[in-house]
Amino acid sequence: MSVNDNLLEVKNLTTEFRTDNGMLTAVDAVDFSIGEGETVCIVGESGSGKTVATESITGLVKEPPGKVSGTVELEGKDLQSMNKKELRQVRGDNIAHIFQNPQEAMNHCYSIGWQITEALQVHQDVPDDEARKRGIDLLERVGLANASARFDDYPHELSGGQKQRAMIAMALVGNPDLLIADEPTTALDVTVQAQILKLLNELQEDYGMSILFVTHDLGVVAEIADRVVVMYAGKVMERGDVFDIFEEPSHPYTQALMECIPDKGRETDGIPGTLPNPYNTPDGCRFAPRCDHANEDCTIGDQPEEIEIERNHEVSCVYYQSGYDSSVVRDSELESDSSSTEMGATDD
Amino acid sequence: MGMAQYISARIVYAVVVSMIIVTASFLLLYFSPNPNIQAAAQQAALGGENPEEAVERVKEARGLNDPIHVQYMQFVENVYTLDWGWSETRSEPVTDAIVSSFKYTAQYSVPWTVLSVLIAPTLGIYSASRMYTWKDHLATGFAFFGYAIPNFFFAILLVLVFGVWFEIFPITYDTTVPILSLENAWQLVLPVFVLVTGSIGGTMRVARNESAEFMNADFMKTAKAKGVKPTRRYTHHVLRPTLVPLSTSLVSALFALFVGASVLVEEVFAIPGLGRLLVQSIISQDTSLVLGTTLVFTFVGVVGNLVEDLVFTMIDPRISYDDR
Repeated sequence: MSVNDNLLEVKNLTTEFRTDNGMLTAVDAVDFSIGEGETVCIVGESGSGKTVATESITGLVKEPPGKVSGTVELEGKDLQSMNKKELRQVRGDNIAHIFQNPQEAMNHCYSIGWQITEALQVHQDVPDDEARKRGIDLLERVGLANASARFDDYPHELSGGQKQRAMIAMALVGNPDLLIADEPTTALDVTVQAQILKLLNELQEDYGMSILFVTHDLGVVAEIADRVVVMYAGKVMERGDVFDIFEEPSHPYTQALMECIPDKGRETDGIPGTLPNPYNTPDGCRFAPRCDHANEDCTIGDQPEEIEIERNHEVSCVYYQSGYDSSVVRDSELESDSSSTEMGATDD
Repeated sequence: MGMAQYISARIVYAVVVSMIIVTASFLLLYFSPNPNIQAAAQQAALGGENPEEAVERVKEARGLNDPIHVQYMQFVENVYTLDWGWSETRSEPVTDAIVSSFKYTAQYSVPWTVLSVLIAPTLGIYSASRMYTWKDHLATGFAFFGYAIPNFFFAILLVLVFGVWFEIFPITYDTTVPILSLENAWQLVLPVFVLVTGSIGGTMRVARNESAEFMNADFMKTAKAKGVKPTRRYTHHVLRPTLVPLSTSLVSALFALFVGASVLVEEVFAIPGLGRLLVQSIISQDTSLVLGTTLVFTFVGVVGNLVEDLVFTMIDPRISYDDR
């Protein structure tokens, strides 16, 4: 996919928060792009900056205390330079969000119908009866039975899955080009999760929209993603097509995440250690303190540059730089084809 | 259980509460000495007649020899048919005295209530949206001032400064001015200002603290993501859930002031309203007038709580109509 096809182009995105303890950098110079009709997953454990990164795109991060820098271009238009009114138009019409907890994401004082059609009323001045009709159509489309009656129900009268369906209807009402879904299935039980993912896949085909999907669940990634961005402590560790990431996880962090998938019939203890202190991130690779393969080169300088190890597959790890033996960090089952010289210090 | 049933249940509840109040008033009156009998006995003694006979005559004429339940039924009937007796000190029916005083009370109570209902939530939400900035601190300082300063004292200060020193506002209330005139509005400025400051002090803090909870709620993020303007986010998404706890404290603050502070404020500004009527009737021991005025205050309280209960169900759909 060529760069020109990209719907959304995020470059050097940095989000900091001014707190009582000093500056906290949640997202640190992150790049990613989303093509038309494509699904990109941002993966990483809790606290790695995935949510902040997606909320920085449309300026949902509260400023202050937040501070977002870098460029976000939607179809070539820079969102950062837009005034508030233009940005609201983008939020209502071009980019929609759904959130992790549909219970909290809805206002308990208003009917779901009111909340679904609010964006229409605010942006397009659609007459009430027409807005209602569109709302009911959408509720039907997202698979809520008896939609015309449910339209006037309040959030507390719906189950968790129904609420998330209503949230999706709310997001679709402006016919968005991009749907940002922040862990939309995490708060739901497994069977409902699968239904919602299926629904999102269907809707994506119907509406031709792109999806930016945030999750910590690699099972979900395999289900829905075209491309994957692996984030850790505010930095991108690895990115690539979903097939490449699963077949050939190349960054030790990605490999560690894969190890954590429980359904492989082996025990998982999680990844030992914790995320680095966000006020004082370590030099070198952010993952180095928890990495089995870390050597002293991993703990100096900045996060290593991303190296393209194959087409559209980039890894931020010193072992892929020239002068290192990348086989050290590669899974044994994978066929190694990188040009490497021997410099490896440790072995597994 | 539906909404209609809920509403009728609340109304029945309000009637029951008012019955309890009426019964308590009756019992208090029944066991207290009757000034009319004492007056009759005194007059008879002074006129050389037999006081015992005079007492009997009055008792008979007023039905005080009837059994207690007959007297009670008569009392209840009179209360609900607004036959509240004769005010000796004012030489007019109690209801007439109340209606004419209520006219003056309403003149400052209506603008005061409307202003409090408008200002307290607005100021509270404004404060919460700018929490810990100097604007918030200023609003909070204003609220604490209004909350802390005794209303009557504040009223006296204002009369002294703006009435006596600067002579901007009249010192005493002039009843001869037509109700719907600029002059009348002008002379009501200070009393309304004092009462508004008193009532929004506490309620503005409730509005601020309750709405702070919703300011950072996830649904505010959803609204922002939908492209909703900040003002609409506050007026729709924050205000409505805030109104549930806020209306409770607003009703009680308004009512507490209506009964308590208005008496003092009416005294300070010489407004011949209900509060003053109550005080004067107590001082002159005009029992029927005391009872009548008290009943007005209690009924306002009962009706206020009823309205609040009904408003709740409209504000927050989660409040169940099931029996409580």
